[in-house]
Amino acid sequence: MKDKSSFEYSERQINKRIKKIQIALILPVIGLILFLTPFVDNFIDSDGSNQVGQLAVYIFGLWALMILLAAWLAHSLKEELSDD
Amino acid sequence: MISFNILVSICLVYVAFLFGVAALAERRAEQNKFSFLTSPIVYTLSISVYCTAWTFYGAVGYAARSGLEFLTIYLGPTLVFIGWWWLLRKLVRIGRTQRITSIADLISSRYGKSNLLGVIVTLLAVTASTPYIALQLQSLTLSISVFSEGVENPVSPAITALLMAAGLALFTVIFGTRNINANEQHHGVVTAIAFEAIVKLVALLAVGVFIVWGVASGPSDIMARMATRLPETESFYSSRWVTLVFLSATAIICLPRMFQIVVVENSSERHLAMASWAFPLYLFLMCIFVLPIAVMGLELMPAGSNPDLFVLTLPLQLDQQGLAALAFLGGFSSATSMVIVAAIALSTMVSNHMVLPLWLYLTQRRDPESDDVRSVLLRSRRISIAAILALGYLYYIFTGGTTALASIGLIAFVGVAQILPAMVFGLFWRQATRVGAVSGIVAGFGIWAYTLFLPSFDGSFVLTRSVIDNGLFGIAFLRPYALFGVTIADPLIHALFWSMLANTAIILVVSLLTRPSALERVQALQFINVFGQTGQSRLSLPIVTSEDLFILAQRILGRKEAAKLFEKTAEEQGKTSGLPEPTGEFIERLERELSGSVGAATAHAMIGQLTGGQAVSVEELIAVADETAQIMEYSARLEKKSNELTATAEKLRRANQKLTELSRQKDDFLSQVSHELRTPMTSIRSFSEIIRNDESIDRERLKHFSSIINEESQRLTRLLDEILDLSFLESGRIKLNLFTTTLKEVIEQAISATSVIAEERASRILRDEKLEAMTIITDRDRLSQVFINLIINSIKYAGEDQPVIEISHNQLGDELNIFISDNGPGIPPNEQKLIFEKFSRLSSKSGSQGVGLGLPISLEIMQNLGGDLRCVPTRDGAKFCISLPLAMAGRKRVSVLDVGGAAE
Repeated sequence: MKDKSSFEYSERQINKRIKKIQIALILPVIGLILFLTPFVDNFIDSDGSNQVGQLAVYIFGLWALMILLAAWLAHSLKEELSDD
Repeated sequence: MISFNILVSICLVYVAFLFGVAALAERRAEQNKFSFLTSPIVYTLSISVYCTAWTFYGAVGYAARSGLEFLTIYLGPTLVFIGWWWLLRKLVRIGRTQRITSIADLISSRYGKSNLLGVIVTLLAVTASTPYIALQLQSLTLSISVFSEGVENPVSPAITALLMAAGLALFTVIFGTRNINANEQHHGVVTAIAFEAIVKLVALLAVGVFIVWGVASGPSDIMARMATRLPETESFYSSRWVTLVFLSATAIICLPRMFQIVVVENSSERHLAMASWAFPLYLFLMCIFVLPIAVMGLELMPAGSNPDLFVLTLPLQLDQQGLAALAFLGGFSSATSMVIVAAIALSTMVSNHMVLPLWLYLTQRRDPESDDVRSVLLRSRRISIAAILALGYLYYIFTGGTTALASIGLIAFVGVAQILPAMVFGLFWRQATRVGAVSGIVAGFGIWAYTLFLPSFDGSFVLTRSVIDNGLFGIAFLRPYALFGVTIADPLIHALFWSMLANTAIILVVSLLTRPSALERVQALQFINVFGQTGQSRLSLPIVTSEDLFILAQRILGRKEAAKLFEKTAEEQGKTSGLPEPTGEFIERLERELSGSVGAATAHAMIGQLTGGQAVSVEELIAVADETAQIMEYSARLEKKSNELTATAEKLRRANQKLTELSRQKDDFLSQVSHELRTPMTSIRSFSEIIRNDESIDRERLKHFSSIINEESQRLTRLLDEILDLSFLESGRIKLNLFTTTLKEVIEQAISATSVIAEERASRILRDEKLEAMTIITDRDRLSQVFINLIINSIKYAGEDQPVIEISHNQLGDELNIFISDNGPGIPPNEQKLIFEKFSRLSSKSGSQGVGLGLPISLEIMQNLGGDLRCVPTRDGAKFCISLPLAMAGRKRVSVLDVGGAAE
């Protein structure tokens, strides 16, 4: 059992909270880079043919991942917000 | 194919249903049942107003023309919502703490409540939104025209668009301007929009699922067809891709309707947390089938078909009438929801920043009346809604309906993006000034209009074809599509590049060159440090006139109270006339005074409105003033009632005290009477027992004992007589025999009655001849009884000296005062009232003879005779005053007693 009154527990909670906020701040930046990255082309465009399908899978996949991460963050950070 | 009439019927039923949803939501809001209305799901769904007909129809067309590029329009908002912790959280918090009513209000409020900025942003928003509204009307008309193909005498697109615009204006007026809300929230509209969000999502998903699994052979089949059917997408890092992601990210914040939904209609910050992932999910779902529909549309539809209508025409081509009707409803929902929210947001801006300030300016000399302000607001909003839709309609007619929906939407995006630099600098840079913001926005707005908006009319509006091709006045340097000789192939990127560059650079440079005013500094701090505000401290700045403060104060406190406060303050400030100076100290004091009426927060906000310390919309201020006036009136009534109740309670308390006192006196009385009765009774019993038992008693002793028994019996009788007498006097049942008599007769009767006791003590009575000559109407025996009592008391309490009693008088008007004074030890001041209490003497002077009811009886007699008896304070001896009203003597009782006497 975790001792919720201990200093270590409180410290861990505070650090977790700070990390979550940092992730919340970094996530859109990562998203921006991944959605605009110039080297995605090099990664996908291997045979010179139309890569629309692959690009679509990449974008939708990334999009879905972002949504999942955002949902987890929103759930974690809800307590930080005022509810009035 | 669904007939045109059935389609119109479906539309009408759907609209009626929407009216019902909105009305139900409004009713629930009125009943304060907000649980569902303010749920995060409704909030998230309502944000989907971002997905207009441009998304519903245009996305497929966009994908068919430009491949994956359509996704940029949704990736930008996704990034903004996923990064909510950066910007949206701050915007929502500012919106809530500063009571922001629109994006124009936000910018105006941040830069020192500048109404000029409010007007500029409003004009910009209206101009940028007009093509967007036209786009919705166009998509509605196009979708209806699909169903009217083959119909004889089809309704012209212009008429269809006009009817749509009128219908939408009606809905918006009914549910968007029902009342002036303090927080500008529209529960009815938002709920209807949330419902429409579900309809459009379900419709698009239904078409998508049908296409992928009903027409094609699943996702892999679609993937295989994509490569051949869809145009190749340029690099992710192409300037157009980056531009479009930036533009769409800007639009989700700066579009007036998006600001309205995301910030103004937000009822809890926690809803934003859910929207941060649920809204991107909604966009994801809206986009997931766009590519399959585009691919299959290109494959199955005849060459030359409009790809913007594939969502509708593809099910029709495949003979799926029900699906086509659902798709039509989806498109209808997308277009209507956008127009409704945009019209509400824009009309709020127009009425708050343009109409109301103008109206207040024109009527400033008049005595302000609140109701007319409210009606002006409502009326101006209704007219604004109609005007905004009319503008959209005119734009649609002017442009004749552009073939590509996407291009119109992007023009609007670049327009509203001009607000972004001022907003971002305002939220994060303290130095940004009003002049900088005005200059930047105007420059950006001008460049946008010159390089993108006006050329979009293709030479038919303001800019001629020649100007578009050769530049203003033929100067090649000023060509709209190649400004300053910079050639960028894409006009959109060209316009965005120049407008944003100029906008941002000018705000930066001008802000650095100018100084923010005090009020701007205060507002900047409140915006930038919104998360660190305690809400306790506010700088009170003397930038408000005393007249303004007085108008506000008198509407809250009432004229009288406000005048009193202002006069007092002016006096303290050493001003002999006029209103006091609006010093910081006075403003804080006024705020405290107002807090007493409207609570600290509202008072803070109201003063803040005048001094610029807080942002409250004009109508909110007025509404609060009105409500407060009503509350004050109600409170005044309550206070009056409360005072009456307090007075009654006080009377009851006194009556209760009196009753308690009387009860105590009654107990004392019974106890004393028992004691008084017991003493003679004991004596009588003892002596009678001796007489009975002692047979040898001699005659002399027998006579002595018998005389004691006789005296004690007489004493008993006297006591009972006096009690009886007092009882009669008190109850008013005494019979007075009123006759004309001289005071001489009265006084002589009294002296005669007291002669024995007077002689015993060798008393001297000094009489007043003048007094005795007077004639009055009275009950001689009763009045004489009063004299007897007073004379006997004087003799009894005279002490060792020879009693000297003096009778004198004076006459004050109709009142005759007869004084009886003696040379005795007098009555201590604290007992001068007590001696008239019926039994008090019994307790305090138990050593004296008699039962001590003489003075209470005398007082009762005098009161029955219409006069009074009181003890007059003197230095030596005791002095009593018998008052008799000459004119009124006995009159009050005469009539009653005469009747009583006659009856007996």
